[in-house]
Amino acid sequence: MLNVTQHLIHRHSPWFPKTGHRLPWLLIARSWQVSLLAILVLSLLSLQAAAQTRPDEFVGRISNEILEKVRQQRQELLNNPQKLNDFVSQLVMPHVDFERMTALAVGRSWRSATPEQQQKISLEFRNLLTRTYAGAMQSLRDQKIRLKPFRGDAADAEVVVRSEIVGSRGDPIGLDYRLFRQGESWKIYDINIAGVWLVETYRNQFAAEINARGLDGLIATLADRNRALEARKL
Amino acid sequence: MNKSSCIAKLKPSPLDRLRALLKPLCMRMRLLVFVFCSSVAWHVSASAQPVQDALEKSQNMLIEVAVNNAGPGSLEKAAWIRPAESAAVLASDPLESINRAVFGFNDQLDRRFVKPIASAYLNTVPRPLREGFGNMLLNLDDLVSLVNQLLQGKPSKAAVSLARFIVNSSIGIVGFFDVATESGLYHETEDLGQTFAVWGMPSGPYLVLPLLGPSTVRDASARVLFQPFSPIRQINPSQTRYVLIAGSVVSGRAELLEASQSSGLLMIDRYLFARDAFLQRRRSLIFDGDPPE
Repeated sequence: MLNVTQHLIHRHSPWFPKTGHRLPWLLIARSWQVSLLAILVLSLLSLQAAAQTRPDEFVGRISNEILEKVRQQRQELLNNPQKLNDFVSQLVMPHVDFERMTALAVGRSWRSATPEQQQKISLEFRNLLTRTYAGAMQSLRDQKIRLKPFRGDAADAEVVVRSEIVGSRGDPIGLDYRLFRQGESWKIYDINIAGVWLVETYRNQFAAEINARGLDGLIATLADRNRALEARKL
Repeated sequence: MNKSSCIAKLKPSPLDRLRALLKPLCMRMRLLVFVFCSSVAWHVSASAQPVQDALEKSQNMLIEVAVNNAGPGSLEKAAWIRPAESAAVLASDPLESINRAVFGFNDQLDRRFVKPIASAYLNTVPRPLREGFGNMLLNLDDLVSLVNQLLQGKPSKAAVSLARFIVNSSIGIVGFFDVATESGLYHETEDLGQTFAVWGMPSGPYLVLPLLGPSTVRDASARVLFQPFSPIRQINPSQTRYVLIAGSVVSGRAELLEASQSSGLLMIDRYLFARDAFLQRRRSLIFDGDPPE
């Protein structure tokens, strides 16, 4: 170490180390700076690498995007329910894995269902939720989304991201998502509004319906609901 | 004008008379109800534990069977069957038949009277006034939260509630404007039922109360105990109090109505929806929005 510093520092410099001297403090300070810089650069690099896959950033990005668009064309969407539905299915639904969501909500009967039935239930459930989401959007005004600190591990396959809707009055409303990793991106498979998980709320209802009328009964009921909602809206 | 003539002018309303009749019984009866309810809650949750264990066991078995029968690649699918890791909402509902009847009664009452009044209120009263009234009620609720946060041993949250109450009562003109929320002090709902839960009292079976809606044995008993102390009941004269209580019901319903315009059709079974949503929401409130997974 001492040899190296003798080469680096000019002979006439007051910091030129003499044999038997300790390392000069300036150099020590510099080495600190260098290592700090290295750490900074490395962490920035790793941050950038992780930026594509961090689940909380993913959720923040979509929700801000959606809020922004709703604010821009609020009146237009309110006047035209069909457009609102299209809006939701184009912007929100690509980020949601409906097959998994439906499988969780149907529970143990899912495995005994034929692929055809599974597809039908998914489709009807999807329509129902699209309408739910569209209805919730109608009451959106000046609220903001605030992400809560992410406590999970971004490297996990399944994570929970917490956020809340902050308005100008009343309690903040919790809005949490369950996500699983799909390639570079994430997919939502459960949403929690004000402490209530969507899948869990539908699970018992689905089970009761399946017990009473079977899987086809459930499909018929869901289809009925969707038809009634459509008739009322349009 | 002396004091006695003033009092003589205010005739007691029939509701007042009823109250006077019931008053000597009240607190003792409330205590009795509480003791009964808490014993029910303890007993039922003690007997519900084996049921839950069995449920969990059967689900695990199901997953195993699925994995064994369906061969490779089915592990992923089997994981889908497993309920999402939220803690088990009490699946057993021993009072379901009674609850459903009461729920139906409440529902009819809502459809015939409360909802029409609320929608009329929504259509006639302008938004700023509605929000102002809602804020005033919320301001009273801050006091309830304050006391319960102290009871639960959360002094910093209690300080927030106290600050909210002081700021909103003074600058916000008796709570009409929610100045505190705009400056980052958020309201948090805390009631005696949550306090009991934090103290370790089990919830007991799900219960639908006539007029009051979804509850549990624990929350209902806490409600019965807390009723005479609630801030809105301290308001005099009694006419104002009754008007305010009725107003709070209407304004609360109107807010719900505004939030969800078409939600009736989104539920397959309204009773189950209300029950599961209520129990989850309650759990989340008890853990201040952060229940353990």
